[in-house]
Amino acid sequence: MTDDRLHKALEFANYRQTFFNQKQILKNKSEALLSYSTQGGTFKVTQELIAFVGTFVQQDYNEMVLLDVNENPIKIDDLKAFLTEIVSRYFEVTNDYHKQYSEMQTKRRTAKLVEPA
Amino acid sequence: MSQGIVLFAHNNTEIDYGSVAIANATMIKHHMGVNSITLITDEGTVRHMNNTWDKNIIDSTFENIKVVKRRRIDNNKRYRDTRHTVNLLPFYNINRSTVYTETPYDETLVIDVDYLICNDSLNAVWNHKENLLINKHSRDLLADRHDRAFDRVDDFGIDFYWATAFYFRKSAETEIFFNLLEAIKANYPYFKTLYGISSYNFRNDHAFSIAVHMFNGYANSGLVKPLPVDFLQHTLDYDELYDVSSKGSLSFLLEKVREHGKFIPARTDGVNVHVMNKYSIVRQSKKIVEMYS
Repeated sequence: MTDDRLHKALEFANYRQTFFNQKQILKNKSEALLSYSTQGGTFKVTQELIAFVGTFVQQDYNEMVLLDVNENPIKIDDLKAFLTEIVSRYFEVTNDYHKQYSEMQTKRRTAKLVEPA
Repeated sequence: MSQGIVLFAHNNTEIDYGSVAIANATMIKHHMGVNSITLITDEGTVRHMNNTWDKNIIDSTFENIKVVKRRRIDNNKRYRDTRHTVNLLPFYNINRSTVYTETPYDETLVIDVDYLICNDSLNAVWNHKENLLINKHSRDLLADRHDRAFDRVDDFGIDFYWATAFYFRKSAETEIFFNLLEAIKANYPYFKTLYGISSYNFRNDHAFSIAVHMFNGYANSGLVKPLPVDFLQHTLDYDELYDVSSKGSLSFLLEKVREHGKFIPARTDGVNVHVMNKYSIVRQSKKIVEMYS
């Protein structure tokens, strides 16, 4: 292997490492933002929670008790508003993740990956 | 019910915690929209702050500045400025347990000055059902790096809790917790031996870990709950915060796991980061304050 090939391989390894790390940073950020607190409780906004709450909203329930991340029972007074909030949080966060990840994929140099927006 | 944030800052001979506190408080005000910020500090730190910063900046940053007596203590800590510099310096920020009596607020969020706030996620603590919230997980910003010393206080010891950020509401229960913390601090040689902690110096995280363990009924029962976002994120003192290019955007050099002294770049946007290299925050503090104010 010539020196140039080795140099390019090492450069690419650096790029891959930086890419992977930036992706993890985005993933952690999204995970943190997918936490929603209301009425003294904290909920992780997941596809399961959205589907579960959605089922009861469809059946015209106005309120219900949900167990939060600490397994405390939290009474949700306005179930429809709660669903709207968590759905909007979910879309906001995942769309932002998708946008930033797509931008990252277009950048082919290490320095570009961490360039301020 | 009054709500507010408390920061602690006690300078030593090299680290200007006062400047770091001002920088982080401006970030907190901007990102969390909280104006009730109290600084607990000492005479020497205040004098240095007054000599370094414009009075208007200090007055507009903090709602209260509480000056407490700084005692001479034999508690040294290794401060690193990447792999290239290491200094053994006095660590005075050990009065965290007094926050219950010092805070002017009913609901208090205590944030380490080196936990740089770039989003409003911690606002979720206000009016929480739980009276005490503290995290036991923190993720390294370098994804494949993991320090086991942050899992447990000792290889066979109890879970490690981070005193970097915690929330409490004044209540009979939390008063007991902070009294217990005071007792642990006062009898630290005994407790550190009991819990198999090998480091010589007093560390807030270890004292909190012991207190949480005792408060949980000497078990891993999880009675003490985590903050709404149940993990912090950190960089080590081997890393460098090299730029704050815009509001909420932090640029780092993170030391590679298998190549000490070599770095990979990283950038965060809107992520709260516990930056352990204090020197690097001090270097950025002027820029941060100018940018945010």
